[in-house]
Amino acid sequence: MEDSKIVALYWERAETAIGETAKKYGSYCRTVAWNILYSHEDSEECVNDTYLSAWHSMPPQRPERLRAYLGRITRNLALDRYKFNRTEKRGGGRILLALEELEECVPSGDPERITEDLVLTEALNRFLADLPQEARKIFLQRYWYLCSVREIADDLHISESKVKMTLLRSRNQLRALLEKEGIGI
Amino acid sequence: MKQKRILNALTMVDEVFIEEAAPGTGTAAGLGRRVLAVVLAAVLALFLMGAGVATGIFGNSIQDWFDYYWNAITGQSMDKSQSAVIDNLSQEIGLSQTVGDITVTVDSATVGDDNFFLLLKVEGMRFSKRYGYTFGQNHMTVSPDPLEGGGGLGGYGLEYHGLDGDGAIVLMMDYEYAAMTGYVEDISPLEVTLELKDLFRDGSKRKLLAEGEWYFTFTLDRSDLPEPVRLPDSEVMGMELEQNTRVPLLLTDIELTNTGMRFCYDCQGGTLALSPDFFVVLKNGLKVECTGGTGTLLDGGPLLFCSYQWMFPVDLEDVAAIQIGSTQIPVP
Repeated sequence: MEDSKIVALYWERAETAIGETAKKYGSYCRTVAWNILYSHEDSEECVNDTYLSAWHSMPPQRPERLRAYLGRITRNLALDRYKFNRTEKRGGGRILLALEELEECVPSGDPERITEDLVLTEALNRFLADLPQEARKIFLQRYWYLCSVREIADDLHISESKVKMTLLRSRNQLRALLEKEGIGI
Repeated sequence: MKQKRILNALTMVDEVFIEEAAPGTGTAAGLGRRVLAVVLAAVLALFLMGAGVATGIFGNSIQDWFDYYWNAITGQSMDKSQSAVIDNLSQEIGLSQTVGDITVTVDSATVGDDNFFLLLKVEGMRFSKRYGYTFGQNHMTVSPDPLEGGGGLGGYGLEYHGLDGDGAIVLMMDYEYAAMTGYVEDISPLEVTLELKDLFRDGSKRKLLAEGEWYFTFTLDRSDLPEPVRLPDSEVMGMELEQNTRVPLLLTDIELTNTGMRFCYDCQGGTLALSPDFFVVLKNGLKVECTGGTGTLLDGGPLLFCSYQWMFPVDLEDVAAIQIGSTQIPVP
């Protein structure tokens, strides 16, 4: 079913909206949650909470990109749950590893001069827009979807070394951009 | 602190990028390596969500397209009975219209009981494998309209599937519906109108490539659709959405077709739902996932009438079972 039709079901308060969402995006949401939580039970609860959140947020929201909209809800819920669990087993280590990689490329800032998250997001959007499509996908699969290097290589059918190299270049570009714009954290 | 800020900033990046990077929407070049028993779930995204996969391999008709994907997934040629089923359901259309430099062709169709696929091609410009392509607007009507009178839910979608060996854009359009009256067999020809407007390069840097309107009318023959296989009422595990608990659901009026399945169940006013994991299990162990489905309350009553479509038409002689969640319903 087309996304616009699914969104319309939410607006009509038709319960089938949840079933249709699950059919079309259940696997996607589970992947997003699994990459953060590494627990089937927690992931499944997260996905169900995503449907509930979608139900409560539409209306008033009318997302143009339903997949990304749901993915963002799932990711936030999963990260909240991850923080709650705060376990280092399995998925916990994976998140920290990805974030530590990314942290290296962000210049240190004056603790007194805390940059607004919005400014950093805008810079990230400009940075992503200028990246070649493949590099952008690799970057976001690693740092948004928190996929492993191996999973990215498999998904995009490229070698792991190419993924690592592309990530290194992208991080360097991001660091240069943030330094140039004087954005520190 | 740093990590928290990075997380927050990343969470809010543009949805266009998030959608573009979603795992499972990459190219399919390596899929042929997968073993026969692999579940086709990952390929679902390639099948109807669009991916640049067809370069240089894709043939000339919708049958070739199905054959290509079967090959890519299983690493084997589609067997004769499977090919015969798709051949039987497919028909050539071969209508082209040129506006400016751009020629759009409605090439062929594969037609099921309550759904159909159309293969479209676009030529007349040098297209790049680096981008996706789409039309700014698409509008399709069918007559007789299966939803007319009783109502129900139906829909269609247009998806980019890459470039063919001649560099033409390959697009797939699918149409499906579930009427509030349930499935009513109608073998009369289906009159289809299709309007496409303005060709765009798709993605984060969307760009208008050619202005124009392409308009088609054609007929789909439904006179030779195979009989569905009827299955006994069966219990599967579903979900009670408010309490988030697993509950048994009784499926009734189950009919299996080459292109999908349909059935009814009491959804208790929308508080009960089925698992979204739907497969047809072939005798060789291969599981073919559904591409989605549509459900509507039957005559406004408590029963939800559902129609699901498989990603490929399947030979019913080769089907061992239907799987919904973890429950398998044997097919005799």
